[in-house]
Amino acid sequence: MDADKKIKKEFRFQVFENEVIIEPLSGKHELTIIWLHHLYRNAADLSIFFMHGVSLELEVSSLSIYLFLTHNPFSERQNRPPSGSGESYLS
Amino acid sequence: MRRSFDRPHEEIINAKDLKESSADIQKIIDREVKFLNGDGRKVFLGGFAQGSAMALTAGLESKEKLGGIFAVHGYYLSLTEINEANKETPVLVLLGKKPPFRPWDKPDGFYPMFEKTFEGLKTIKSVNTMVEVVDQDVYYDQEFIQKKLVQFVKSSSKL
Repeated sequence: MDADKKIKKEFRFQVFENEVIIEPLSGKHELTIIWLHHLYRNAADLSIFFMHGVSLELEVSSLSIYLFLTHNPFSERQNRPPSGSGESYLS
Repeated sequence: MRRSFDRPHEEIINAKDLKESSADIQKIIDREVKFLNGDGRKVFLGGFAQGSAMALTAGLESKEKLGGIFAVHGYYLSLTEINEANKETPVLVLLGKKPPFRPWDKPDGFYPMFEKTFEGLKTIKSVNTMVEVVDQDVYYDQEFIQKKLVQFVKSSSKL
């Protein structure tokens, strides 16, 4: 049954340590959306932008999702690891 | 004792980390601008909640003229140093009326955030800044956010 399905668009989905890049495998690079996600929401959730409905009408070539850190309001830890130490204080 | 989430955002965030994050995002913007043959107006920055605040900060601080900034249900940080290049950049801020389901939220918890966002956005002084307060559940109605993003990108691209 799956063999009968016609592929509308194919994407490359790359997950890096601090970035997720989703880009179509075909077409010219015309537009980039850099999306900064919510503190508790998985970056990959934003892949819905490409998955159905109106998303296919938007000629987005790549979506770069940057995973960043500002401050965890739930942690009152005084001895936060220094930035760039490799230890996440969100854990 | 006041809880951390009752305090102004500027008090609870770490300004150094914020600036580092903004600088890191700038590197991504630079990389994408290079891919787009030097046209920063084809780069859009967006985000949700904390990501929305960061998108406003990193986008408005960018030395590259961007296509637009799409901020969903976040807040504006007064620490933001707006770059001349992005004073006229289209900005759309979406704020949801529906409160999030978090036990520490006060019933009126969102209104101070609204005021803060409105006050902060006045300092951008951009004719292209719009704030929309919507009935939709901006936490879970991703299709709505998706539609708004598409509309925003299309309309901003024409400016």
